[in-house]
Amino acid sequence: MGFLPLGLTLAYAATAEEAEEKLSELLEENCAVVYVIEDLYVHMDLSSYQETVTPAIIPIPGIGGGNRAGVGRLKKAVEKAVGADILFGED
Amino acid sequence: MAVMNVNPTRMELSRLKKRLAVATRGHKLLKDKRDELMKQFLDIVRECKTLREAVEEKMAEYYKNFSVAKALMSEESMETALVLGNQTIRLTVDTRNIMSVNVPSFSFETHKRSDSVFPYGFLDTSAQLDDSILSLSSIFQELLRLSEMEKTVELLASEIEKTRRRVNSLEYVMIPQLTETIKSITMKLDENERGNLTRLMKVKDMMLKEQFEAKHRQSE
Repeated sequence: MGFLPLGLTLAYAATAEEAEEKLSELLEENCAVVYVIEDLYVHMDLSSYQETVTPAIIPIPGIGGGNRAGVGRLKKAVEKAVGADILFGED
Repeated sequence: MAVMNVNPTRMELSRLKKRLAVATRGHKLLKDKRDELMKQFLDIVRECKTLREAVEEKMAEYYKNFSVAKALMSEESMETALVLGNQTIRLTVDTRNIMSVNVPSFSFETHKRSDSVFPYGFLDTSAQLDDSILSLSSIFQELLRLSEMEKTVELLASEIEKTRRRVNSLEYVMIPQLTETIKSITMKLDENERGNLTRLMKVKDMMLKEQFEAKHRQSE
């Protein structure tokens, strides 16, 4: 809700499937950056958007706190690129 | 490493030698590309990690303020206050090129309908709501930078993986296979050459012997 005054578009989804539907609607409207609440993000299938420059789908913590999906995503990228997690080992 | 199934001819040998030269050169270039990508990737990922931690911390602060504001105000007045934003954001997406990987670069401009960031009057709203909106608008720039960097990290990671696979397949499959095949063809050609030489020597011996015998008969 607090994002509205900034000029962002808000879409509400309760489940991951609903979120995926909303996401494709938003992408049809030419959105390049989409922030998704971490709790939903972990259950969504976003593999088709991984190789393209846009959209950037970014997990952010929700009002109830996050599940560190954002850091997990970075960790996964490091593992993919380097072969082993060399940055987040201490977490 | 298995030798390729090709004819052991000079033609094939020169073709394979050319392929080996291209493969070696490609391997060197791809290896350089992988190293440079990795260097850039690690720099970006480190920065990204710090930025994400900072943004998450600030967002937690925002949510705290927002929850208090929500508790202090009725849902209706909250909705009325926020539903009509007084600014719109126009996001411009450019692409940057890092080692032939296209990565996004976001920039945004806001169009405000009034000077204030708040879309509401201060009469029915709480101070905490003001705080939460101010904190959110202050982190928006960082949030956008984070989006750009995380997308870059994602794209670079998959490019590094691809390049690494290429480098490995060249290094451990293609180049050894070509070298082995070239070696085996050279050996076969040499063997043929030696066989030929021996045959010639044998024929020469036979001819000399025949000549010698013919001369011997004549003299008798």
